[in-house]
Formats: sequence, C-alpha cells, structure tokens
Amino acid sequence: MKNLLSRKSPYQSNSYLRISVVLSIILLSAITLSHAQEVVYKGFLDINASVDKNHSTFNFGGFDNYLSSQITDKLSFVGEIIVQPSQGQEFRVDVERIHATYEFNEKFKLTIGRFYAPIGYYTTHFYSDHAALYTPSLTRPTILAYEDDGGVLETRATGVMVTASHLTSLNLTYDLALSNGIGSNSAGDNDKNKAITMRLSMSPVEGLTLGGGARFDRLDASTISRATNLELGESVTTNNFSGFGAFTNDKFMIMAEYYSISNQSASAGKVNSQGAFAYAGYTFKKLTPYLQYDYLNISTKDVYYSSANNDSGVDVGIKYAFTFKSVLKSEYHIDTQSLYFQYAIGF
Amino acid sequence: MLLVFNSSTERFIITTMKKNKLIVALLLAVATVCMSFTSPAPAPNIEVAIIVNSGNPVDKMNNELVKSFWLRRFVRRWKEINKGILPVDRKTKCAEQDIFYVSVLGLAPEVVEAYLSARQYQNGDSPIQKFTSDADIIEYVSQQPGAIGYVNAASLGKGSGVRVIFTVSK
Repeated sequence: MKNLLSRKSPYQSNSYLRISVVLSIILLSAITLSHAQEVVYKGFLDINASVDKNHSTFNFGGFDNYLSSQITDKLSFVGEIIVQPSQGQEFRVDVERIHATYEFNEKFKLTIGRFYAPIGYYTTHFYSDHAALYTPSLTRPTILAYEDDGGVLETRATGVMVTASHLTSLNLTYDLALSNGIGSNSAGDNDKNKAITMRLSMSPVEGLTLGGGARFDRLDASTISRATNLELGESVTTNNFSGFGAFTNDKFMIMAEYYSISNQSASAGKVNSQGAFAYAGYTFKKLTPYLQYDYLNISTKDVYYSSANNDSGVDVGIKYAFTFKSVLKSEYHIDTQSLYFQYAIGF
Repeated sequence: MLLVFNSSTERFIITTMKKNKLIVALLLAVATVCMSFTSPAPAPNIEVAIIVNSGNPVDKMNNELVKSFWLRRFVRRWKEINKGILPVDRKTKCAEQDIFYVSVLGLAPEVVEAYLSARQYQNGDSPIQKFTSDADIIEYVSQQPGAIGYVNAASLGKGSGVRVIFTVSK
C-alpha cells in the first residue's frame, strides 16, 4: 500500500516557499517602513468562473499586492507583486512593476526599474488585470495580453523612463523609455540590443486623450522565436507603431487602440501584422454594460510572433459595482460562445 | 375624565371628555402658540477657508482650481515652490467637511474616496492626511510647505502660519 506519509506535501514545494518569502518581505517592509514614512498597501483579489460547450471551471485569478511609499518629497516607490496559479497545483509569483520615481518638478520625472511600458492608453491607466476593480472589462484586450500569456506586445519593461507632462495648452505628455528588449527575462537582457519606446499624447479637454507611439527593437539571433520555440538564427529588426484615443466621464468610457507591427529579417523580408481593440461602456448608477472588440492578425510569415492567438470578435459584458471595493462582472464571448464571471475585491 | 373647577358653584366637578373637547383644544392651541415663540434659532452661517502654507505664494484660487489641486487631478506638485501637493481632510464628518465636499468638490464622500483610491493605485499618490480638528489642520498646514486644507474661517488667527486662498460659506 502506498505510504501516504511519503507523498510530498504541496507546502514543501519551492513555489510555496518563494511565495511565502515574498509575502513575508512585503508585510515586514510595510510594518517596518510605516514607522519611518507612510507606506500604502492595497490588496486585490479576483475569483473567476467560465463555462462553454465543453468545459466549465472556477479559478483563482490572482492576489495582487500593491505597495507604494513617498520616500522623500521628490522620490517615491511603487511595487506590485501578484500571486497567481501556475501549472498543476503550483502558484507563481509575478512582479508586475517595481520602480522608483524621481520628480524633478511638476512637469518632469524619471522612473527606473520595472514599469508598464508607455504604449497606448489602457496599459498605463489600468495596469494589472488582477486589480480587476479598476479594469473596464473582464478580459484584457488580446493585443495587450501579457508576454508570458502569449501576448504580442512587450507591455512591461525593465529600464529607465523619462516623462514630460502638462506641456502647452494641449496638455501634452511625452514618455521615452530605454529598456531591455524582446528576448530578455526577469534576470536581464539576452543581448546588447535595447528597446526604445516613445509615446506622445494630448488631453486638450478633460476626459479626452489622443496619442500615438512607437517602439524600436532588434532581436539577436539567439533569441527564442515564439512561433517555433527555436532560436531565430538571424537578427530581426522590429518596429511597432500605434495610435490611440479615449474619452471618459462619469457616464461614458470609450477607448480604441491600433498597433502595427513590422518585423524585418533576411529570410522573410519585411512582414507586417496588426492588432487593435475598441471598448465602449455606459454607466448608470452602479451598472455598466459594455462592448469590447478585439482584433489580432499576426502574419503566418512572421519569424518571431506566433499566429496561434489570432483573434477577431466581440465580447458583450456587464459590470456591477456593489461599492468601489467590490464588483461583479459577466462577459459573453460571441466567437467562442463562452460565458465568464468575475468577482473582484480590493482592500 | 377631567377634574374642572366650576367658579359659579365654587366646586370641582368631574366632566366627561366629550364636554371638555373644547377645553383640550384650547389648551393645545395655547401650547402651540407658546412653542412658536421658543423655536430654535436658525443655524449660524459657516465660512470655510481653504488654506495653504504661508510660504506658498500660489495665487488666490477659484472653486475649480481648489478642486483640481486638492484632488491632484492634473498635477502632483506646486509649480511655485516645487513641493508635492499634500491634501488635508477631516477625519470625521462635520459641517466644514459637508460644505467643502458639496460646494467645492461637488462630489459625494464615497465618490471622493473611490477616486482617491484609484489614483493611489494608478499614480502612487500619497494618502490624504486626516485630522480631527481645525487646530490640528492649521498646525499641519503651517508646517508642511505643500499642504492644502480647509477649516472654519473663525478658527484662523493672526500669525497662524497659513494663507487663505479661497473661501466658501453656507
């Protein structure tokens, strides 16, 4: 008979140990630093359920731990660490952002660390999926899916970013980031090439934001292709261009973003792909019905990106805010005929 | 049943409720007239002063500017002194807070709390400092160059270390 006592307890696994260490550090830091300067801690949790023709499930979305502190008048810190399910019975720790920001004055600031890349509007307004209280829809737009979830764009970057804001009567904001490029991991970059990301936006009237951006990067031949899971074997130049717009007020939220991705290599030449999303929601009292359209068309000739997640479809959803700390969302994906539910809280 | 003194017979007599309906009605009318002369005085007019540190040379503001700066809607730092904006609030509900929220912010308290919570997450804004009394607010604002708060104007004295940049009354 199998000795049940010899079965490895999940609490002895390395991932639980790492999670425990990370959460202990967060808690200890919050307690210790709170005596020296004020530390803000926020926690977010989302629980999900989904059902389609062949499958149904409950799942724990993620436990988002957010910490921030105003260290001095000009220096501040933000950290956001998420515990979320991994394979099997394991969980993984994901560092969404961890950076220090120095504000030279009311117009210029410098950010160093890991931050959300300055692309579009959605990424730097709603940040993590697991602060789901704040996200307008249940599912993240496909074009903005995280890299480790098979996403196309580098939504997070590790490096340095300069931001100039509130410029001229058009209320211009300009971001310029120098960061590790595609192919890098949490430990560092895989080559000498760095990515340059820039974004220019304006808010001429309250609630309206219009802008565009670009990202330039060069992939080393040793970079692992997402299309083949093998080394590229050649260098690839990748240029992304984007345009976006958003209008928000107490009642309406309308957003749209478009991305053009151009990868150039010796073997395939110049290959173009596109992605976009649009969102429209209307709030009356505590209820917000919304529509979200997703479009992703990665060329099958692309040597780096995989076309496996190509998508085009409309999602219909509704969000009910019990309070600003507790919301319930339901979303139906017409193309896959799948129904999703999410309960999100924050504290 | 009521006990009534009959002046003609100089005797107390017990009368029924039916007969004394008029007497009761008269007594109630007299009581009502007396109460109207003793009704509570109308609430005194409260003037709320929006204050900044006396070393902050920011110009006098209007309603919208106070709202924008206190909520840190567009900027997080004072251009004039290059210090972070530090909004100050009352810890508990009071008349001054009601006037500030209604007349300056134009927002319900729960809407303000939701907005500030979202901004903390998005921008890493430092939390708003909350105090229990005008004296505590005045002391904090006088010590913090970037602070902006609101107090009952009657609480301000000379040499308090703060400047008034806007007033609103109810």
